[in-house]
Amino acid sequence: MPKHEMDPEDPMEMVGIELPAQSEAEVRDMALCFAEEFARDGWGEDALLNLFRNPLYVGPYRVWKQKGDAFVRSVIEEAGAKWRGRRAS
Amino acid sequence: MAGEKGVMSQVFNWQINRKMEYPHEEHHPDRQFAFVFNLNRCIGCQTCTMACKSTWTFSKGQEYMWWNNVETKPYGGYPQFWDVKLLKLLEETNPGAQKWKGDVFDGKTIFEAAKTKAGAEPQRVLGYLPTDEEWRFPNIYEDTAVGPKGKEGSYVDDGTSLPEHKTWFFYLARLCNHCTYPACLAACPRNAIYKRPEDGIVLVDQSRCRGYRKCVEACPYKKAMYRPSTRVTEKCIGCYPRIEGKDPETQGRPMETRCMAACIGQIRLQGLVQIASDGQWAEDRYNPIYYLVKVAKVALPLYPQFGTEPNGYYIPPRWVSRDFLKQMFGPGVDHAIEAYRNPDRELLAVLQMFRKTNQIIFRYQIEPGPKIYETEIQGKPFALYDDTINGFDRDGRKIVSTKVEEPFYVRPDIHQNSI
Repeated sequence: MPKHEMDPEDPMEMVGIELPAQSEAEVRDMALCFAEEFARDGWGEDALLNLFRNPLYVGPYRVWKQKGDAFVRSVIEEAGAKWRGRRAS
Repeated sequence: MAGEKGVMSQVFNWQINRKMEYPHEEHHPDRQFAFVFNLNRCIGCQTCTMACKSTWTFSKGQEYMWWNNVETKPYGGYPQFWDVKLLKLLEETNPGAQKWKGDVFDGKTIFEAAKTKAGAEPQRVLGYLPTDEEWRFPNIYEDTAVGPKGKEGSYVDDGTSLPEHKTWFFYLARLCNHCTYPACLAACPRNAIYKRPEDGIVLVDQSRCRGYRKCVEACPYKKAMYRPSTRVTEKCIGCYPRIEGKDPETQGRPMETRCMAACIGQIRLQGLVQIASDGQWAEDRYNPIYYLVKVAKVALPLYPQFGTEPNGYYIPPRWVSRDFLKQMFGPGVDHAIEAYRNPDRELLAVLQMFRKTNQIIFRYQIEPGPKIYETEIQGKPFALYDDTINGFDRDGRKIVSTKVEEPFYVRPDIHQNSI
């Protein structure tokens, strides 16, 4: 455990600190990347949705927690449109 | 490489697209150890880190040595703040002028900046010695639970929690870049560091090293590490016995390093690129590393502005702030991400070669397959072909054959825990 509270103004202490300027578009882009990378590995839509709902996948899970099912489904659909239909879930 | 102290040569660095000063004359190997990491796929599992650690740095005095490490950007670093500190030093040396003009770096490299740096002790290379505290372990606080300060005689009611990264982040796997113009080599007052003519691997001659730590100070990537138990410096040796084909598995043919071979995320591909007599990469169109770096231009060097011409290349993570990526990988970021996001037929096939064999692939060849489907990616037409890609070793023998459409197996529930 750190001995002192971290100072968010200290640029040398970028540990667990929220950076500004994460837009909805950037969140979507990141989520889309997760979905696409796994889709390219052969994951189907149901498996992908379960991944986003799984707290052990920290990044996707944060997106799901922030944005909810409908947003995540639309991201998965977009990924599916690119890498679609090649394998069933 | 032998150089006279204080004499600078002019060498061409293709990554910053200009000549630059370097403290030794230009000499180049026949081939160069190089690698490409796809950061879009790194899951930070540290298997590479442990593969290296358990092979090379498990002895007394090597406790803090991690020749390979994976750090979480933008928070982490090993040693802590390595890149932030050097960027700051360079900015202080050349305020407001560390900039790219198109694909030419117009600022000062670490060799050029060393000349102008004020200070009592002249340096051949601008650098700094990390503190013991910064070296003490990788990814400091990365997974360290945090909570309020405790009070004597009482428990903290709500416990502690792991830090959450509430914004973009990515995992950056790093090892020695076996640079074309190594800063460690340039800084060594004993000429104890050399670059092997056969594969460009940078080594420390343990019998010449006196442990002055000039290389530790100079390496911008902080991959030269001092060993207090022997009082000399050690660094990544590029698993050279494997590169030489000494591992019985490959029967004398070059094999990838331990960290590459262990990558379960399949983000790593290693190669030996041909170097022409002028030091540039000789055209070798169907060498996968040459293709990814020079033809598709989807893989970029780490902090090219430092000026050492590192030979590790990264496919940048596509979701990360472009400004951050451009600072880290140079001006080629937009093109690289666009190429990766909307891959053409050849790139898609070459990406399939990552981690399909432990041997070094010297040449690939694509056999066209049927079109599977057509779609649009961001308004652009895209077609997926089930091509076959073959990889060949140094002697022209086929060592791998894989397809764009890989079979996908799901382990049944009853076997989830069986090995």
